This record gives sequence, structure tokens and C-alpha cells, in this order.
Amino acid sequence: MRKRVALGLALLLVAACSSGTPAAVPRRPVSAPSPTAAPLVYAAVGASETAGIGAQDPRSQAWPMVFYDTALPPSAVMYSFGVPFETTEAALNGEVPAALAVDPALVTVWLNVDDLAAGVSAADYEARLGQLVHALRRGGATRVLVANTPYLDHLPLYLKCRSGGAGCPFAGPVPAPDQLNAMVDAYNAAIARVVQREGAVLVDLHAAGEVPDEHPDWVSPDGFHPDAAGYVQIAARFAAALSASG
Amino acid sequence: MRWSDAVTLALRGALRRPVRTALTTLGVTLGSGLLVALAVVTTAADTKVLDRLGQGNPLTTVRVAPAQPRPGQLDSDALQPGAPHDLTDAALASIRRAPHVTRVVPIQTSRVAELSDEGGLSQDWIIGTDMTQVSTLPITLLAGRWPAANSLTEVAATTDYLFKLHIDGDKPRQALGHQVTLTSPRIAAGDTGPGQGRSYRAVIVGVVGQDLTDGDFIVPVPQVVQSRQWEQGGAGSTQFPVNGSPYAGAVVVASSLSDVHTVRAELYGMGYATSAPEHLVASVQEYLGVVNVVLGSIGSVALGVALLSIANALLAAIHERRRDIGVLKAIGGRDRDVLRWFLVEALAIGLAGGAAGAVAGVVIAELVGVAVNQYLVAHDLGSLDLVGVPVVIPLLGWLGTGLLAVIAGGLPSLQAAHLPAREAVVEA
Repeated sequence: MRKRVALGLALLLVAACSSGTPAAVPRRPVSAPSPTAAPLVYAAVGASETAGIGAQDPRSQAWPMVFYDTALPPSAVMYSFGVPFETTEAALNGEVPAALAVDPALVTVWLNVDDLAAGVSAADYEARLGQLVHALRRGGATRVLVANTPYLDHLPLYLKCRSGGAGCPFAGPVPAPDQLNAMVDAYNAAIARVVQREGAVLVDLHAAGEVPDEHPDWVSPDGFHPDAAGYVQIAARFAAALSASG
Repeated sequence: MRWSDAVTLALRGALRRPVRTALTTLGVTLGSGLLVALAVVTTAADTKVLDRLGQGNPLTTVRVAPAQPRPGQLDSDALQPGAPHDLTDAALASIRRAPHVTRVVPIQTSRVAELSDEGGLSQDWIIGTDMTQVSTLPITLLAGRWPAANSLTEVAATTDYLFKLHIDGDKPRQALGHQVTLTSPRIAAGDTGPGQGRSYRAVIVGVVGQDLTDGDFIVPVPQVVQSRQWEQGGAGSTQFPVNGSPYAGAVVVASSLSDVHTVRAELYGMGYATSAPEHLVASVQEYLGVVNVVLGSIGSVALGVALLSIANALLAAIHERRRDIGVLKAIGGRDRDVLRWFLVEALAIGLAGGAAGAVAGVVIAELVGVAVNQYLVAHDLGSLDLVGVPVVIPLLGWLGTGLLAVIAGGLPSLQAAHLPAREAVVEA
């Protein structure tokens, strides 16, 4: 059963959430960064969506770049560590040490869909995510924003694979929507507990609902990654969470 | 006789024949003026032409590439690079210790994605160098200012980047104040995506023309160092290699123009390809030397003629003043008093003519400079501003003319000094 769910989830990387106005990436009004100010160091830890997969131009349209460009001060420096197919376990060995090496004051973490796809249980995921967030928090020296898992069951590629349509890149059975949603809920509960325990900030992407139904234009042509407009909305979610956390 | 008496007698004598004195002084003025004008023009032209060859940089600079030199490297001014040869800190230290090397300015580059504040994205390079040493480098500030030496947020855009901002190359000031987000890419182990990135925002504070290497921005050293450190942390790929030369090049300043070849030979021995306009400069200097000799000869002939006129005027004056000479000797004047009298008169004419000539020469040189510049600009040959006079030339022209006048007046003055008193009075 778990294997089926895992296999099916491999189809499902993230779609955009939230509501709002999709548009081209808004550029920050020009204001000169101070040449002498100590820069705020921001590190983005994550998987394919952090790397901007699905955007026409990942280098400029990935959500961390949009977040950096719209929500952080001009003197901020961003390190984007996103690697496609990255699980939390892999990030603990690769992205986390690299992120800690740059001494970040702010870290965003979005790692869950690839763990789901890899069949990692919610308990194991919680343990690994807890270890990851604990390391990044550095005793409270770093503010850490952790995104939960959005709805995945209405993504075009998931639906295509469920219907057995041609073009599904994954072999094997695909989990039913209720199974998938149960896994997502379990993961999100784990994420909420880790955030609470480590003093991190939750970025609630799941609260945006079934985004593919409401905003199909926020989903990229691959059917499961956000496109540039979707990434703008995700960046806005992170920015709102950062702002609300003070 | 005191010096003041000699001066008084000389002035009275000169004013006794004012027209002759004026014409003699005018001749000296023309001669010395011509010589001063030619000296000013040729000196200024030499300097400006050589500056042009150096493209605004010291002619003693040698550019070093991270590559082995080809066998014929030292026979050519141009870079003759062979196989790659990393330019490392150790190599730079060796170059600094080499004889006749006064300064070494290293250059580092880093690959970046550039996101402009207008949304345009492009890929190019940043060029990092010591902002306190930019006068040594082939970089010209076209607008704005240089980034602060340790700034992490200020850059100077090259003219290449102006086109990416759709700014006319003739209006570089329009680029000032624009902000750009620079992202250094790297590939993590196993990464199949677009790669990781280190991004920072910088504001364009200056626009430069540069001939260092390919790149859109000149940045202070700390920026390029941080970008390179980030790059080196990646796993590397054919697209983003991590094992290149630590330095993309260096500019080495030799202690003098004559040491440039020695420095290049030293670098050749160390295994680095270099470029320097040494052969071109030597050829131009040879031509300029010939031109200087020809023009100097013309001026010298003119001055010689003027000095002969001083001698001639003094001979005429001595002939007219034989009675005065006789009377002076009869009342106890000595030969040296007579000699002093006429030498002072020659000196006075020389100094007066030399002063007027120096002023006239400078004015003529300035006018020639303006005319030449206007001609060059009118014919799209660029500008070569010859205006700017080394003060020492008119000063030397003035004092030299006075000295030469004394020499020219020496023979007639000696003749007057040795004139017996009785003979002088009787013949008069």
C-alpha cells in the first residue's frame, strides 16, 4: 500500500498555492544597497521547486529568487541550494552543511514531496526534518521558515497518471486521492510539530487549497511544478510568513 | 666700475639707438620664440602620442595571461598564448620579486547570471581587481565613479552592459544608479537541475571602457573572491568547471620603459605569455626622435641668426662708442669694466628677447595645439590635445637665450675691452 502511494507521489511535485494576482515577476523598486552594511545572508534549502524547475527561466523565476528580490533588504545575499529530487535525508548530508557554512541569518526549507515520493514514513520524515531544522536553527541564531505540503491530488500529471493516460513518466500503481491526501496530512502534522518544537515559522502552502482547479495557469506545462506565476504566489506566501513572524 | 654702473651704461647705450636695439631684440624674440614653440610642441606631442599608444595607461605595463608563451612571444607585442598555465598566488609573488617590477595588479573573473532591474537576464563575467590600482589598468572611467575598494554592493558596468540595458554608448550616465542582481552558479554533486546559486544585488556607480578581458562588470576584489569561493564549492561540470586558473591575468608595471623587455623576458622564463607595446613604442620613439632633431635644427638656426644679429649690433655700437670707451679708459676705466659694460648690454638684449620669445613660443604652441586638435576632430581622427606646456621649456628658453646672447656678445666685447684709450679717442 505504502509502495503504491510512494510510487504515485513521485508524480507529484508541487503546485502553487494561495490566491492573489498572478503576473510577471514584480521587480523591486530600485534602491541602492549600502556598500558598508553587513549583508543579511539568506539560504534556500529545498528540492526541484527551490531550483525553479517548471519556470521558463529558473535562474530568475524560481520562488527563492522572487522572495529574495521582493521581501529582503537590498544588501541581502542569497544562497540557493535547491537540488531536484532532494529528500530530507539527502539534504542533511548535502544542503544543510553547505547552508551552515555560509552562516545564514534566514533559511527557508521546502522539503517534503520527494520524501513522499520516496516512501518515507511520516515518523521518519518528522525525525529527519526535526534534525534538519534543529541544525539550521543553530540555537535560535537563524530564523527558519518551513513550508508544508500543498494539495497534490488535483495536479494535472497526477490525474493523467491516475487515468492511465499516455505520458505518465512513472510506472506502477498510483495512489487514490484519499490515500494521497492522508499522507499529505500526516506529513503536514509532522511539519507542524517540528516547527513548534524548534521555534521555526510555518509557511502554510496547504491552506491555499486546490490551486490547480482555481488557477490552472499557475501550473507549468509539466503538470506538477509551478510556473513563473505560481512561483510568485509561493514567494508571496513565504514573504507573508516572514513578515508575520516579526 | 660697479655692476650698477655697467647696467646704467648698457641701458643708455642700448637706448641711444632704439630702433636698432628694438630690431635686434625682435630678431632674438623670433629666434627664441620659434625654438621654444617647437620644443613645446614636440615635447607635448611626444608625451601625448606615447600616452595614446598606452591607451591611457603607463607604457611600462605588461599584461600577463594564464598561459604558456609560444616561442616567438618576445618578438611580438601581442599575446602569444600556448597551453594553459595557472596564474597562482605563488606565481604572482615570484613576479613581484622579479627585478625591475614595481607593481603587480592581479585580475580575477567569475561567471555570473545578470538580472537587471528592468527584468533582463543575461550571462557574462565579473572582473575583479584592486580598485586602488585601476590607474595601472587598461580601464577608462566614462561616467560616474569607481566602486569603493571593499564594497560588496557597488560595480562599474562596462560598455558591453550598456547595450543590454538598451542604453546608447554615447550616454553612459544613463546606466548610473541601475541595480543588477548577480548570481554565481555552481553544480552540486548529483545535481541534474539548473544548479545552485549565490545572488547579491549591486548598484552601478560607474561606467567604464576596458580592455582587460571579457566581462560586463568591474567589481572590487571582495566580490569576485566571494563568487569564486562559492564556485569552487561545487562539484564542477563541463559547463561550470572549478579548476581554472585562480587569476585570469595580471598587469605588471616595469620600473621604466627600457625595463619592459627585461620584465617580459623574465615572465617568459617563468612560463607566462605576455603582451606590451614595447616594439611599437620603440619604433614611434625613433620616428619622434628624428622629427625632434629636424625641428630642433630649424629652431637652432633661427636662434643662431638672431644671436649673430646681437654680435653685429654690438660691433656697430662699439664702433660708434669708441670715444666713450676712450674717455672711460682715460679716467681710469679698466678693460674688464668695458667688457662688463658690453656683456651686460648683450645680456639685456638676450633676456628681453628671450622673455618675449618664451611667451610668444608658448602662445604659438598653444595655437598649433588647438589647430591640430580641431583638424583631427574634424577628420574623425580622434582628439589629441596638445595644450599643456611644461613650464621648464619656456624657462630654459629664456635663460638659455640670455646665456647665448652673452656668448655671442663675447667677441665684440673683448675687442672693445682691448681697445687702447689713446687710439680710441684719436680715431673717434
